[in-house]
Parts: sequence; structure tokens; C-alpha cells
Amino acid sequence: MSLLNTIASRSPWLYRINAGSCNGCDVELATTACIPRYDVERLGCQYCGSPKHADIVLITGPLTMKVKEKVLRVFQEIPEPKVTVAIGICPISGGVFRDSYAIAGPMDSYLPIDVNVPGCPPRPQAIIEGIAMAIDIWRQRIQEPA
Amino acid sequence: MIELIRQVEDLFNQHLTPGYTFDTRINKWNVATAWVRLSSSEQLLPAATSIKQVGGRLHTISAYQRVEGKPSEIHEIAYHFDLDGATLTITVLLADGQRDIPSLTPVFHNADWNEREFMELYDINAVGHPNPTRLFIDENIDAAVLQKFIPFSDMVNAASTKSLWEKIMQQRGEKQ
Amino acid sequence: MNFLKVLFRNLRQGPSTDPFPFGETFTPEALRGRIAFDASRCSVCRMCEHVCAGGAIRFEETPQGVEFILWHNTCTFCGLCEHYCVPKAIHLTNDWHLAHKQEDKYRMIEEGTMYFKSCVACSSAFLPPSDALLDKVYPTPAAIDPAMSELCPDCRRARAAAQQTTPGMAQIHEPGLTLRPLRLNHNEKRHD
Repeated sequence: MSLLNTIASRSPWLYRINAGSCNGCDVELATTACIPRYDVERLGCQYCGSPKHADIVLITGPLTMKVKEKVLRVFQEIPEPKVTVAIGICPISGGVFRDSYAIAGPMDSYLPIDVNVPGCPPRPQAIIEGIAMAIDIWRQRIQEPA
Repeated sequence: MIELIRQVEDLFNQHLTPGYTFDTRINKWNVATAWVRLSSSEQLLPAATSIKQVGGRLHTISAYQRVEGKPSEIHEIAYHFDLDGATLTITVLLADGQRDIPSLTPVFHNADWNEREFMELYDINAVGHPNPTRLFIDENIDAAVLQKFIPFSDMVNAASTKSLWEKIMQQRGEKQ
Repeated sequence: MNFLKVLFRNLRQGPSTDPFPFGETFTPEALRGRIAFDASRCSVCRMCEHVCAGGAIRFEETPQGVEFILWHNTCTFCGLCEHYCVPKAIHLTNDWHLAHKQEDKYRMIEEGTMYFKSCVACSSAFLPPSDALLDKVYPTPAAIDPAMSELCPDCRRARAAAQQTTPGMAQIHEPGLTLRPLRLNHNEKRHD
């Protein structure tokens, strides 16, 4: 088991959740992985399509009332251990939409967040920095005995 | 600029029932503004037709409650017109309980959405509006509902600014 | 056969991948990043607080003065605060290394304090305009009225009112300022 954990710790897979974001941060996330210029794949990461394959969860968007239940359900589907990264100021504090009637509140009132990357949207290099921090935390978590 | 205002004033004198006030001001940069207060809502359509005749445009319509601070049944509607650079504002007071006002849409087509907006936000009826349907608020919700209830963000405790700043100040306090 | 040309071109040029995080990356000079606040230039006009898109700026009054607090986690880095600051007390640097762990979330702040000064005439506390603001507002350093940093606004108003009736009462570097007649805008009537 620990051999598998050691191997797995070198390839954390990314899963994106858009919790009502304007897509600005999602576009920046696309540029960190999909284009070779900022290439997050050098760190061993890859976007996966299913929450069951996810290791690092990237969340964008303030948690809007409409999508809140769905985001919480999807988040529950993602198996432990996982590391959650909040991209952009919207999940961290509500951003410019703070106190709106349509926002359920900062993300960390509902989900455990590990790394924050502020910006509106943050630079691709800043996102990679945040993902690198998340990978450090991920390596610690997966090496821990269950 | 002042010329068009004078023309409109003449037309008002001809076509409107008396009782309205027409006040023109020119400031030191020669910008002319005219302020009209109608005494009854029947004067609205003849006034709008006169403005249309001289080539005026409707900018926007502002509806508001006359009593500041608490919900009230007395509404006032201000119609903002442009006369080639000079502004003319027509204010109509809707006395307590009165909810009907003639619609300006047959004369100025761009009054359409403005009137649908104040219909759903203030529960005022624009009589003669060709398409009096809801603009933003869902059909199943009463009109003027936003005045009757407390803010939604307060209700669901989603308002977070105060608690966020409290946490920040707490951290500063520990650091200092 | 075209692929050989592309292959050799790529071998010559090398990878186009940005080396970060394994090497240096390009940071534009005008990049809008972390906020730097210079309290010595601020005159507490609070325009930055007013225009802040994310509501990230807050001014707190304390007995010693006024504190400026900016929280980066709700700042959109739009630059409006810098644009509207007259003495340029607030400035967006190009530091984009802002990613942090959750425990540091409420510590991502920039702060500064503008201290009260005591009025030489009435001893009340007031916020003097900063040197940077006075430099911007007055045409030459010699033209700066020293009373701006010594007297509180109420005492300056009292002095100006007295000078209307007795010209030359105190040394003013711009004589036209007090001897000019007050201009009321007689063309505009008050609104109802």
C-alpha cells in the first residue's frame, strides 16, 4: 500500500468545480494546464473528468445559492485524501459579490479549504504556485497512515 | 436650448389643463433645465405628446416613494426628457392609494421597459401599456415584494462582510 | 516532409514552456499585484475606500489617528484606488506571489497609520494634509501655506473669515486667496 501511495504522490490529478464563477478564473485554469506555455503537467498534474479520480480540487466562484447543493454533493463524492484550493477572491471571501442575496457566503463556511490563491483572476504563474503548495500538502496527506 | 423649452411651455399652455407648474433655470454655463410638476395624471399624455412634437426624447423614468425611510403608499414618478441638450423633468405625484398612471409607451416606445420595471417594483399600473408583463421578477411573486420583506441576505445569514472584518481585526490584535 | 522543418525549428528554438516554478518567469513592470501603502503620503480623503470594487479597504479611527487596512483576499487588483489617490499614497506593486495557506487567510493585509496632530490654536486633534498632497496642490514649495499643517480646519476657517474684513492680518503666500470676493452662484435656485 505504501508503495502505491509513494507512486501516487507524484501524480496528483486536478478536478475543477465552478461554483457560480464568472469563468474568468476558469479560463486562467485552462491556460495553466491546456497550453504548453504554463504547463501544469510538469508537476504531474492532469485534469480528470470524474470526481472519483480527483486528488486536488480547484474551486472557483462564490458559492451561489442556486449551485450550492450541487457543489456540496459533488464535493462529497470526491474521495479522501484530497486537497482543496480556492482560486480567485470569490471563493475566499465572496469577492465583489459579498453580501449579495444570491451568495451563500465564503466557501470555507461550507467546505474545508487548504490553499488560497487571491487575484481576480490570479496570474497563471500564481495559480501554479498555489497548486505547488497544494502538492506539498497532498504528499504529506497521502503518506500519512489512513 | 432654451428655445425648445419655450416651445414646449407654449404647447403645454395650449394643451394642458391648468394647475401644473413649469419652472426653467439657466445656470452660469448656459445649461437650461426645466422642472414641471403636474397637478393630475391626466395631464401626462398631452404633455408627452407636446414634447414629442418638438422632437424631444425620453431618457428614463424614475419611480420612488415619497416618504423617506419607511415603506409608504405615496409614490411619485419623474419622467426625464432631453430637448436637444436641455433636460426637462416632469414629476407626477400619485396620492395615497392611487396606483394608475397613463402609459407613455404609445408615444415614446422606450418607456416600455421602464414602465414594466416600476410596475413590478412599486405595484403601479401603467394604463394602456401594450405588453404589461414582468421584466425580471418571477410571475409567482407579488409585485412590490422587495419593499415588504427584510433583505434576503440578512434572512439566510449570507451577509459576511462584518464577520470577515472581525476576523481580520482579531488577527491584527494578536499580531500587535 | 514539412514535419522535418518543424522538428528542426523546434530543436533549435527549444521549449516554449515558461520555466516557472523551476526557474525565473517574466513579470511585467506594470503588473497590478500586491498593494503598497505609504502612510506618510496619505491625507485620509478616503477616496480609495469609496471606489474600491471589492470593499477591501477600511479606515479605523483610534485615539492616536486613523488606520488604513486593506485585505488582499477581497481585492480585485483593479487599480482604482491608485488611480484616484491624489498624493499617490497607495500603489500596486508587481508582486504576484500571493498564494497562501488557509491559516494565513486573515493575515494578508496591508496597513498603515496616519497620526493626528494637535492644532496650535485650539489643541483639538486633526489630520494634517500630507507633504505629498501639499506638493501636488500648491504650485511651488514656497507657496505652501504653513497653516495647513498647523491649524485645524475650524481655526483656518475662523482665520479666513477674519481676513475678509481685515486684509493683511496674517502672512499668506497667495494674497489673492483672501482678497478675492466670494462668488455665489446667483443663477441657480435651490431645489425643492
